Amino acid sequence: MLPPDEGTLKAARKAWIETRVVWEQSEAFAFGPAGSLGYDGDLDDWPVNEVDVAAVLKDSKPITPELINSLQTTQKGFHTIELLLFGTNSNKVLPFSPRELEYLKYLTLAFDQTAQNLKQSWVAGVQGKPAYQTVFATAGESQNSAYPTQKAAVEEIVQGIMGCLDEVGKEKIGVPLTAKTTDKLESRFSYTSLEDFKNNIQGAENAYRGQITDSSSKGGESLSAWVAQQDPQLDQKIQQEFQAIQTALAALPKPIETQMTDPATLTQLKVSQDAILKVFETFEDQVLPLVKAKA
Amino acid sequence: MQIFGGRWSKPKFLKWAWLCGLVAIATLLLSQILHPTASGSPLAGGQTTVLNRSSTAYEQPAANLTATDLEEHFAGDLAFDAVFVTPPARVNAGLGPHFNNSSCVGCHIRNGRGLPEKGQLLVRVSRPENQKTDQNLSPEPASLNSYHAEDYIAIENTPPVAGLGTQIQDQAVYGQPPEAQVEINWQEHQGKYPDGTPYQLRSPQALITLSKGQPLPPQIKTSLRIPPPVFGLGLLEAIPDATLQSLADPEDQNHDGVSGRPNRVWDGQKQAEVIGRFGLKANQPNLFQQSAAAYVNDMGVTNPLFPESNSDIDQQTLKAATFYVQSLGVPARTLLDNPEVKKGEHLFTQANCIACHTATLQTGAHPLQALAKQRIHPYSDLLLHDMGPGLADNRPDFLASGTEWRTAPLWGLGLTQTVLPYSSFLHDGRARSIEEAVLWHGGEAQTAQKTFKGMKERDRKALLAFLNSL
Ligand code: HEC
Ligand code: HEC
Repeated sequence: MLPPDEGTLKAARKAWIETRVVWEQSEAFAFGPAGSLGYDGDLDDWPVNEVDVAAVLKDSKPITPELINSLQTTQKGFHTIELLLFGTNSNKVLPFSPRELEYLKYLTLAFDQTAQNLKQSWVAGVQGKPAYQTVFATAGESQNSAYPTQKAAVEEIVQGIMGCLDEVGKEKIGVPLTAKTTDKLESRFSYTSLEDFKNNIQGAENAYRGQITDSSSKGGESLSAWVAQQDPQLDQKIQQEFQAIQTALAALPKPIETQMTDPATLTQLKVSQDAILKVFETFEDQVLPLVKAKA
Repeated sequence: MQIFGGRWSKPKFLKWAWLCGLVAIATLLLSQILHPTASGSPLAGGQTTVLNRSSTAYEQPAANLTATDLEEHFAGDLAFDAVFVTPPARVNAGLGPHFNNSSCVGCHIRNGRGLPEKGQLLVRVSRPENQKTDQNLSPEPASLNSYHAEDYIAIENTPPVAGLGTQIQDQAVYGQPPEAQVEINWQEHQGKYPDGTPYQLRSPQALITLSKGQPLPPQIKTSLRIPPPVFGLGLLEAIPDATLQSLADPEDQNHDGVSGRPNRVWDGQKQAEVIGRFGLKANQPNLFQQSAAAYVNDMGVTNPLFPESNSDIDQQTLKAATFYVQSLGVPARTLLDNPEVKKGEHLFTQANCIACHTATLQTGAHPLQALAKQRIHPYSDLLLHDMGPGLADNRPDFLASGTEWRTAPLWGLGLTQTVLPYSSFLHDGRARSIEEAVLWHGGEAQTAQKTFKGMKERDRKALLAFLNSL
């Protein structure tokens, strides 16, 4: 392995940030195997066990896939890789120690394998279990042990959106807002917590609109289209409320990690939280009852 | 961060939540009028019942919490979700050095059950009661610092094993050996219904290797337990002792082959022997002690009830985690009007499953007002029953014998694999389906099991459809 230079370090950090986008956008529909087969924890546990990460670096035991496998989830995944790549305050500089490079290499290989397994669990099934996409798509059929009715599957999508909005509002923004410190900002090592907020919200909006990117909507096959059929005004209201969140988040200073003592930042965080609260309320107050009554 | 359910803690939301709650209660009352009998009631948890049949169904606050309760519930949610790390640390310091998992929710995944796998499966151990010392059992007595001697209330029938204590912590902070390694091998068993339909069951065999590489001596008693779901437990805490005593029939005076008795366990706060309710052998008296024991023994997080030398968490955090499990709502039943489900419910009664899985109970007083005076449908009597040699762990636990288990509550059962796909049933997760769980019933439940086996296939399906509607 060639020693990293400024260029390769920059590329590695960029790759981390880009991977993060996809993952955070998927959290709105992370039901099913992500939780039960431990993939979520392996990829994205938080906080990092910094003492034990330091112990791995200090140790002389060779780093192998088996060693990585035996580590706690708080010593691997996104945030440990983040810590090693960015340092504790986005302040890490070259050179990296050989041990750091080894640890990083094996962490990313394990990460990749877990991500593949997660995908496999949905599209083909793992450990002899049925593909989860089939389980979900056959909701309401008599042998389906997860979703005895189709309504339950629709509710799953709505609850996924609500869970995501709730987590961003209550935990990811709410807890640091109350504490007024960076301690609980999720991606504080890389100074990208704000990107996490935005991507989580984008994920919730994507789940609502049945799209992966803005252009991928299949028109007609989405919760949004269904709501529009039942109540066009409600659908419009939701779209506007999502827009309002994006606007509020866009007004936050970047990176947010260095601005947590600025009252203006805290005020704008509160504005963002309120905007998220608003669309959460709309889902719980109006969409959920509509699904229960009519889906 | 992992995704968790829950709701907003903002006053503005709460006002609205209140209104919504009122509407929900009104709707629920209405449905109770429409379905007045115990059978067919959707209100599994009385007024705490939540209408949610998605994977977040076990994560909902009880529907009848006040605004103040809700705030406390959200604080508890954060405590239950908190992932602990090795001290010192800015956030959640206190893990280990020995542990099984680093968060409550890591085992009780999405508040449902865990899998029979490393990090979730617990192995309780003890030496045989007649063995005065354990010198022959542990070839190299571990030093006091190299394992975790559990904080438990000493009882005579589970003497601790040197180097392990009474629970195996199979994980440790980096650089320290775990107490032991646990590997599960599954043994398959073939069976046949009287009508000729074949079925397959499996049972676990634990291969336990101590830290120095030697196998666990065979005399040591072991009990494998998966984490059970944690919703609705506040309601079970609110059932009066007298009710449980009246359900008990230790001498089987009604001659139905089913006896049942409460466990008697030690309450560390009261310093008294009381009825046991929690844990798979009803080995804990209340949710506070259960949670405190979980922190210290499952996570290595010392706390005000079990401080060891210092407390990693304060009383407020311990109370918050306890409040969280007390104040979770119970999901409403589904498919109430489905004819197959209705027939299955009838068959459940006919097969005398209700001798243990008591359909309806009434709660008494509880410090959390929302739990008091509720008519609930837990499908459990919380009593210990002899389940036969097939399910026996042969390890006693207070009054519970090596063949006895607490009747598993069946509410929310149909959501098990919605919340946690691929999860399994019974105390050690051996049953891959509800059907397998019923087939394992023996001992006092042998007659009920035989009745189930003897049913026409159509009827067996109907009974399972009913269980899935819970
Ligand atoms: C290593 C996995 C693990 C962790 C971590 C864990 N639990 Fe548990 N929990 C279990 C198991 C296994 C049982 C059954 C114990 C028994 O039968 O002795 C249980 C039982 C319980 C029960 C009683 C359930 C019932 O139906 O009686 C409650 C309540 C509970 N745990 C709460 C918690 C809380 C709160 C935490 C965090 C402080 C926690 N648990 C952490 C595995 C775990
Ligand atoms: C003598 C009491 C008794 C009778 C009768 C009985 N059960 Fe059970 N049931 C239990 C106990 C105790 C457990 C927990 C056993 C264990 O974990 O090993 C249990 C567990 C279960 C489970 C698994 C629950 C879970 O969460 O894993 C199901 C399903 C179940 N019973 C259904 C039935 C059905 C259906 C019948 C009637 C055919 C029945 N039971 C009759 C005592 C009884």
